[in-house]
Parts: sequence; C-alpha cells; structure tokens
Amino acid sequence: MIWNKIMESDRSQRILQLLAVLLIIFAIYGKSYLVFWAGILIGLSSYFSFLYMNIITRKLFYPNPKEKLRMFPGDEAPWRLSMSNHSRLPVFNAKVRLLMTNDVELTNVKPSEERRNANEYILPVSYFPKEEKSIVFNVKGVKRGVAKILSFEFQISDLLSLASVKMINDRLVQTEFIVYPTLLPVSGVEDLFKLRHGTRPIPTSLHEDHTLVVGTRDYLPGDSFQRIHWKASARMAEMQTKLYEKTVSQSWTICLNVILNPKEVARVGESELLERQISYTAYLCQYAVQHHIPFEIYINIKAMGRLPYLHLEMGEGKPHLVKALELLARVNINSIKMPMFRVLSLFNRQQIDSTVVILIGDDQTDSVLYNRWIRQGANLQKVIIDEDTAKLDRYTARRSIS
Amino acid sequence: MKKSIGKVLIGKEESVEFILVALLARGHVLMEDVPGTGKTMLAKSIAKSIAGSFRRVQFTPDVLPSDVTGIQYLNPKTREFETRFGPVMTNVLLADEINRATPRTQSSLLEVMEERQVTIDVITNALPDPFIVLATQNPIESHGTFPLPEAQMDRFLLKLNVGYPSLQEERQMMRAYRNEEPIEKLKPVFTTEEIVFMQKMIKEVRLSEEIEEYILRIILETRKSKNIEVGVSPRGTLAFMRALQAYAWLHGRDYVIPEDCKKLAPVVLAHRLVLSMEGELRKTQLQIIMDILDVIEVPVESGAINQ
Repeated sequence: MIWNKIMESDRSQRILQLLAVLLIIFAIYGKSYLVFWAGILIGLSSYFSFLYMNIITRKLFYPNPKEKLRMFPGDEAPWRLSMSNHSRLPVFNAKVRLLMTNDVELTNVKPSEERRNANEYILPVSYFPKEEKSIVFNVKGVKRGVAKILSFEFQISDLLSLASVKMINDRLVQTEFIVYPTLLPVSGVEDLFKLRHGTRPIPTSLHEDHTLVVGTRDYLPGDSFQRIHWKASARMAEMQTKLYEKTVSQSWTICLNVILNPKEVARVGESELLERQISYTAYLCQYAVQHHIPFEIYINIKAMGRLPYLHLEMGEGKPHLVKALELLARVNINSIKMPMFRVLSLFNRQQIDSTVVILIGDDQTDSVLYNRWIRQGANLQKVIIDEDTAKLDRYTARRSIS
Repeated sequence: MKKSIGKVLIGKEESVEFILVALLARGHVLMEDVPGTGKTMLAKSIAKSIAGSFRRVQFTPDVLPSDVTGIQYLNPKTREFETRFGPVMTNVLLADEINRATPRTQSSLLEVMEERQVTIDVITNALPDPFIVLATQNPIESHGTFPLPEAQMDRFLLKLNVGYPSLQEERQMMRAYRNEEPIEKLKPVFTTEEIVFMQKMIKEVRLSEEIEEYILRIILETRKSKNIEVGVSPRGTLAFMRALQAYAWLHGRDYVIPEDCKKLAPVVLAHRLVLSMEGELRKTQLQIIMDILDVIEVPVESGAINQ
C-alpha cells in the first residue's frame, strides 16, 4: 500500500533543531561544556526522531487484501486487519483510525465519533521489530448494504513523542462487509409447480432424460426398439429395457421493481417498503436453492454492462444464492432506476425459458406482455404485500394486475 | 528445484514448495485461479524438473473416460486384443481445465488418482511411480463447465490458488522473458528413483503426541462446526499427516511443529469441507479453516519436539 505521509509535529522538530544550534553556538562562545552537550543531545534527539519516523513510515506494510465478509443483520464476524513492520525498529504509541460506513459496527471497539453515515474508530497498536500482527475486530451487521472503510489512517509518534506522522492510505481499502437482507417469508410459494421437460429428477414426472440411464428391467411387449439395452440383454441372455431418470424443468425468473408505489410509500415509508421487497426477493431465492430450482433476477436499476439493468443470470446452488444475496445487498435506494416496463420489454425479446415468473413491487406494465408470457407457458405470479405479510397471487390471462 | 523453477515462474516459490509436498506425500494437486496466472506453466515446469515421463490432457466436454484411461482394441494384423493405455500412464499428468470434462470423465481420472492403477476391460495395470496429477481449473468460467463433485474433492491432497505476482515480481518476470523463454533452459533436477526414495524417507518424520492431538482437534472441529455440513474425512486426516511429514522433511526436520500445521491446513483441509447453507452464505472454506486454527490451542514447543 502506498501511504500519504503528513508530519504532524514538524514545527516542534524545527524548533528543537534551532534550539540545538543556538545552544551549541552559545556554548562555543560562552565556553560551557554543559550547554554544548545539552545542545548536542537535543540535536541528536531531533535527528534520531526524524530518522526513526523516516524508516518506520517506509517499512510499515498493509497488504490491502481483496476480501469480503458476509453476514446477515445481527450476525457478528471476526475481521483481521493484518499489518507488518518490516523494519528493525519497534513501533510504539501508534494509533489506527478507521472510518466505516454504518451498515456495520465494531463491537469490541467503541466509536470515537458517530457521524450520519459513518462511524470513526481509533485503536492503539504497537509492533515489535519485524513483526506481522493481525488486529481482530468483531464486526456486527446492522442493516442491509455493503459497508466500506472510507478512511484508513495510521498515526505514529516517535519514542520521545517529539514528532508524529499521520499515514493515510491513498487507495480504497478493498475489504467489503456485505450485510445480506433479512429473509421474510412469502406464503403460497409451495404451490408454485409446473412440469416441463428438463433435467431435475422427480420420480413422478412424465418426462425422461434420455442421457441418464438409471437401470434396466425385463423387456415387455410394446417397449420401443430404441429403449432396448443391447449390452445388458447380451450379458443377461434375455431382452432388457433401459430405464431413464424421470426429470422436469423448473426455473424461476424474479423481477424486482425498485420504483415504489407512492400510495404504498405513504403507508409504509420508502425505506421500509424497499427493504421488505428486497427481503421477500431474498426469501424466494433461498427457497429456490433449497428446492434445487434454478433462478434469475431482474432489477430495474441502471447498469453499465451488456444489459442496461441489473441482472443475475440463471443459476442454481449455494454459490448462486450467495451471488443473489450479494446483489440484493448492493441495491441502493439512491441508485439510478429505470421504468420496469422497459426491463420487462427487453426481457420479453428473449425466449422465456422459465416456468415461473415472479413480479415483486409496483406493477404498471401492460397486460398484453403478461398474456404473451402466459401463452408461452409461463406461470405468472405477483407478490402481494399486506400489513406484515406477503403472499403470491397468480396472474390469469386477460386480466390486469391491480 | 525451487531455485530452478523460480527462474521460470517468478514469485511462485511457495506454490512450488506445496507441489513438492504433494509429490513427496504421494498426493495430487488442484490449482485454481483466474486465467494467465501461470497454472499451466507451473505444472509444465514441475514436469520438466523431474526426469520422468510427462503427459498432458486438455479437457473438453467431448473427452471420454477411455481417452484418459485407455482402450482395448483388436489388432487386425495379429488378430489379438491389445491394450493402448491413455495419458494416465505417466509420472506427471497435467489435467488442464479439469472442470471442462464431463462428470464421467472426471470420475474416471479421480478413480485412477486414488487407486494408482488403471483397469481397461479386465486388465488392471499399476501406474508408474512416482505418479502425480497436476490439475488446473478456472473458477470464473461457468458456461460449459462441470464443477468437480464436492465429495470427490478430497482426492486432491492440495488445492492451490496460484495468485498474481507482486509489482516487483512482475517487473522481474518482464525482464526475464524479454529476450528468452526460461522454460526451455529448465533441466531435470531429480530422477524418478530419487523421488521414490524421498517418498519413503518422509515416513521417518515423527509426530509427537501433542502434534497428533493438535491435528485431531483441528479435524474434529471441522466435523462439529455449525457452518460445515461434511467435515474432513479420515482420508483427509491421513493426507494432512503425510503432507506435514513431507513439509517438515523439506525443511530439514525429522519432526513436525505446530507452524507446519498452520501453514498446510488451509491448502490441505479447506477444499475438503462441504459447507452448510448457513456456512456457505457467510464464509468461504478458507475463512472457516482460519477461524478453526484461531480457536484451537497451539501446543507448546517443548512438547512438540519430545519423542
């Protein structure tokens, strides 16, 4: 890491140097050994103080690792701030100053200052020569978001406290503290089920995956020629029929509208409503992963990538859930939004593969679009938010969602 | 060997050391990192440093199990069945982009790695000694890849992240490659016989009772943690022990110290953990191992060397 150094006691150093010179001159003219050695002593102290600061500030190293600490609101996780002193001199009387956004808080250090969006923490530290040490902070998730360290400073004083240097890192600290949204249940999600030819094994399915042979059984009249397992038939000396894995395809498309309904905002509050919508989305993502259902997310926040809005591609499994929750943690109320109908129109241009499309948030989209998806075979659902609960409501063709 | 490879791959001394640990402990290595960090070059350099045979398989979805293990075919001249072994019949096998192969092909290789023998139809043949698989995979590609099954990850003794070089190392690298290709100058350092001898030698390295206790407490903690669904298996325990012996031997000791455990646990144990949903959402495998190492009390030095 490259430090910006600010000498804090530069003036007192100069005064000492000047005093040393004056004492030496006075001692030479006044022929006083005592004053001469006092001048030398002050001069040497000042010089060694300068030398010490110069060496230490060049030899302190912070690797600035790219790391992410993930947690839910209320969770606590240890965070290790590792620094190393590469010099042969010790570091005493040093202080680490951190300015962190208040999506998280440190529980083992009291904030020295609480600002509107960030808290400042100051911690005394010391390093022996050639020592690598980690300071362990307990980080607690306070609210959904991605917390960052806005400022990281290291303040060192010399051994006699004659001078001090403030070392400010000139690059952003790469550690991120990701606080996931709280998961709020959505009722009716258990009923979302629509069978289609696919890859998910379901014993009751009518569809089969012809690339997955799971066994054989005795041949029965009426079994097709292609289903005969010739190798097994040869080994067993009687005709065998292949048994295939019974599978279905099930995938969800979750569309989150972050442009809030003014009536709902007046009733619930802007921040509260957005948080609830995000929490319901997070729950649906977790439910999908628990039931091995692939899902994708569309959010009407402007993005600079291939697609002009936030999109998490179709995927499944625990790593995909981590990505989804991280994306939801990054949704900010102040982001640039785009109308949901534009996102859905762009989504409409593709072939809809998902069997279930779930809309979360205010809905102002033309029902023609929805009717088209239903004709293509999608099961269209909308999350209805009541006072404290949310439920899924199925959209039926030729009826607009109110 | 470290010095020799250091001329080709600047700043990868630690990775080379870990691969040597795997070679001496009769294990295999999975290297995972973003493209261009020197995974394949590192594997090639290791292969060139050993005076043994080297084969490479570039995995793609159409590579079949028989392309890896071998086939039995009817020779029309002799009118007899003959066996043609696949690339596994070698000392060093570079399995490039292993996650591009289909699960069946991956499985055939993983079986060979574990059993150190290859069966084609009814004929079983032992693989040459030493035998090491250096597999690479790219974590950022998701399309057209088949992630290695979590349950089979413990077939690899070590999982390494090669990582980017530092500024100074990258400058050195630019200078080294300005006029020549250093890999072409690489000469074998060890013969296969020497490596087999060293593999026997590492078994002489002692583990005190305190170290045994320390290892077992780390392993048990991986099975108890609420963030972990499947902890380290007994195969993992033996692999950890053998890796520690190799590491201590490489450092000129005939005993294992707690620092060895701390150094090797992240690369030997982390990839063997299957995290629970709760664990996966909050932490990575590496973070969990580091947390465990922080919690478990380290044995004192005097106890570590008594025997």
